[in-house]
Amino acid sequence: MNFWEKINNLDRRIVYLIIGLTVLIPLLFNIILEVEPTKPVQDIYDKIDSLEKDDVVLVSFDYAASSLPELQPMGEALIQHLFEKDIKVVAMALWPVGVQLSDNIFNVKSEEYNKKYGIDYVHLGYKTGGMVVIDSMGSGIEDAFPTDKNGNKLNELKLMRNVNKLDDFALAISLSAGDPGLRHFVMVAHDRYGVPVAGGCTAVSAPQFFAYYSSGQMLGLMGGLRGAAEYESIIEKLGTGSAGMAAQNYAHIMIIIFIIVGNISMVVLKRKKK
Amino acid sequence: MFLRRQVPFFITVVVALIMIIAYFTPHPTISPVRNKLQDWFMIIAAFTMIVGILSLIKVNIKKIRTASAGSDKIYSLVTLSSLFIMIFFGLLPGAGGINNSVFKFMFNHVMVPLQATMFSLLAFYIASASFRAFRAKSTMATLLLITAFIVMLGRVPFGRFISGPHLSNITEWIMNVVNMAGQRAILIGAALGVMATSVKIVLGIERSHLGGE
Repeated sequence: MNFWEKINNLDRRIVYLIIGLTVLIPLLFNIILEVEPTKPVQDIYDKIDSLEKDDVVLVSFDYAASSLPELQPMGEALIQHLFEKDIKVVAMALWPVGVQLSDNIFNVKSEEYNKKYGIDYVHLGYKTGGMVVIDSMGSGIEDAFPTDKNGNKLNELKLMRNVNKLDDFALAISLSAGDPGLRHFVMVAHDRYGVPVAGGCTAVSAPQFFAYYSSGQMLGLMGGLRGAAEYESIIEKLGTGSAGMAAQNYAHIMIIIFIIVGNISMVVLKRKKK
Repeated sequence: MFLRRQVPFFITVVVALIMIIAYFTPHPTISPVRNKLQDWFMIIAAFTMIVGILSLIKVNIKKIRTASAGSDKIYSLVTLSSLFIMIFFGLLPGAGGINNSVFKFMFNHVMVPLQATMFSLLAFYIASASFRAFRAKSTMATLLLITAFIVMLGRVPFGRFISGPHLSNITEWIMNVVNMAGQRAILIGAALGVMATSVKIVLGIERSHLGGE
């Protein structure tokens, strides 16, 4: 068996080892690569930056732990920016695991920015029903969420006294790993109730959402780890998104090398056969 | 037959008509009915979770009883014990529900890493598949390969390093023009399909949801 035959029949465990090391080394050595922000991400930042101090923003955490590396850094960067600007935040989740994952963000950021629960931010918790939950919030938030995630009645929370319907929000953001999520916020919150909608999604679903962004149904979009890294770069707080970007950068290069080597071996072996 | 066919069909037609009318006419007489129906939907959706849990318990108890391989029994035992332990600590009265420290610990240190690990395996499979299957065997495959190259490089800082803004700009063009055309066609096609199926259900032409035909 010559060199190219050996390459063509390369044991998949070697491929796994190489890709594992390619991802692991940049993360271990904390290599950070800054990325230039693109317009869809910059648009979200500009919108939040233009909001007034007492505006209320709805952030929906519609993902599970499988998409955590891509969507959690977006959540961290957004909440940080909102708290920095003293904008009130109402959180919710259309995915059950989203509640605890967002709690992890609020626990850290509320302490960092000295924000009080019930005054500066509220968490409505999880509700099953997807699009119907958002639609129900359009008639009244209490229709969909009679209490917050801790069981407090909404009218007992200072922040919620002036927030009764979906269109009381200055902006709705969905960090979404699929359905229910961003697509339903566009269809209901924006198209039916006229609330500006922005979002973050996994890299694999980003191409689908660019259609909503270019039609103006979404004011901004963060796609995948790169979207998170771009937002971190704009707010000048490089976090896990930027750190993960280095790993993704080298992983992409390695996959490209794999494709090139695979194709060269195919051509060489084909010629040899002829 | 009357209860299995006519009654569900009648409910479907009435609910569909109310929801369609309420969408276009926010009249005060129909809005409360619509809100009530939405509440019902959320309650029914919540109960489907209970059905799912009961089904999971049933399937795994059956596996524990009947499985011949020891590993199958162990997996089912682990599934059931994990389910009950999480439910126990999540519902523990007076200990904060989902804010319970044991529940939080298991969530952050068991469930999150396990879910993330399962998804991370994808990177390894993609790398292996790209090496073995992503070959330029035809014109279409070559086109796909070149596009993938450009987009992959254009989405990471290395692309800017080797080409300045060019690869990034080409990537943006591919995403905003080529991809957009395809995505819009898919979205519009799917939406028309949903509308057509909905009309067929309301008119009673499509009856598979009633069990048959």
